[in-house]
Amino acid sequence: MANTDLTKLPGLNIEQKLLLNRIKATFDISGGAPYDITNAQELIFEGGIAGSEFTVYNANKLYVCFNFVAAYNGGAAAARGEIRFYDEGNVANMYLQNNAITYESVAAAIWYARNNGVLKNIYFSRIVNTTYNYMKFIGYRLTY
Amino acid sequence: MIDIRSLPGLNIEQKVFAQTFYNQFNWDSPGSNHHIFNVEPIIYQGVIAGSDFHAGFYAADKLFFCWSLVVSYDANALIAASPRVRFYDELGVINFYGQNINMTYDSALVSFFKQINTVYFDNLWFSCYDTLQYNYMKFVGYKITLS
Repeated sequence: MANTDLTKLPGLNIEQKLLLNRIKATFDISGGAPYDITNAQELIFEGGIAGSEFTVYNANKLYVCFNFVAAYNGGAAAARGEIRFYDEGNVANMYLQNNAITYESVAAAIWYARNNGVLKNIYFSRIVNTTYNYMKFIGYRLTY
Repeated sequence: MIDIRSLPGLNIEQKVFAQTFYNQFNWDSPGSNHHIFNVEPIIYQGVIAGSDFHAGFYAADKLFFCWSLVVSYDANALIAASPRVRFYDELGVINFYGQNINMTYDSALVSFFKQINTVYFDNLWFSCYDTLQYNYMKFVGYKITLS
């Protein structure tokens, strides 16, 4: 990695080392453009998902994430919560849900409460959110 | 070849896990399937079906040593069927299960319905696994080849 070799960062635990080594081996092939990482930008984010850079696909951008938390700011409603993660080719390859559900006898319908969902040590190019509308991210934006 | 026990940065639980795993699967000569022949680091995010992890690809000389496994479902799972993850040991025998269900009673349909939430595992070994409902996964760990 040209600017920051994440695999050499101090304080990584063994799972993080493995993840970063595999990311480097996959996306930083020497002389193998477009898989040639040119920048690794530290990134923390807490805020609304809508309109954030995490929802936008770019073939030259990848997020490697130590800690991802999805949250919802409202009460129970008819829709579930889900985060969909996409790989470098813009194909969905992982999902996150943590719903609690109950039957509401007055509305005669099943309602969802969307608990926070957490994933650690994951990579993705973008996310798509269903109902979940806030997120926390700690990791890096890779450009290649 | 990587010796997982000697990697820097292991916490105490991981040290116990790795040491015990090697004691169990690396104590005999090649040809016994109790000898570690290769350790391959793997990360994987994707579908379970057809992957190397699935029970349809069980092999007596293959194990997965896992720091982190997350299993998930890609849709609204408000359905009657229960989700489940079943892990198999080195002999292809089921030795562990996982599920994270939230469910509710629908009085109009007089039936229980299930919501399939994401389920998490860490520091786990298995030869393969199969699932009901769950269809996506994340894996960080190693593929172990025995000889």
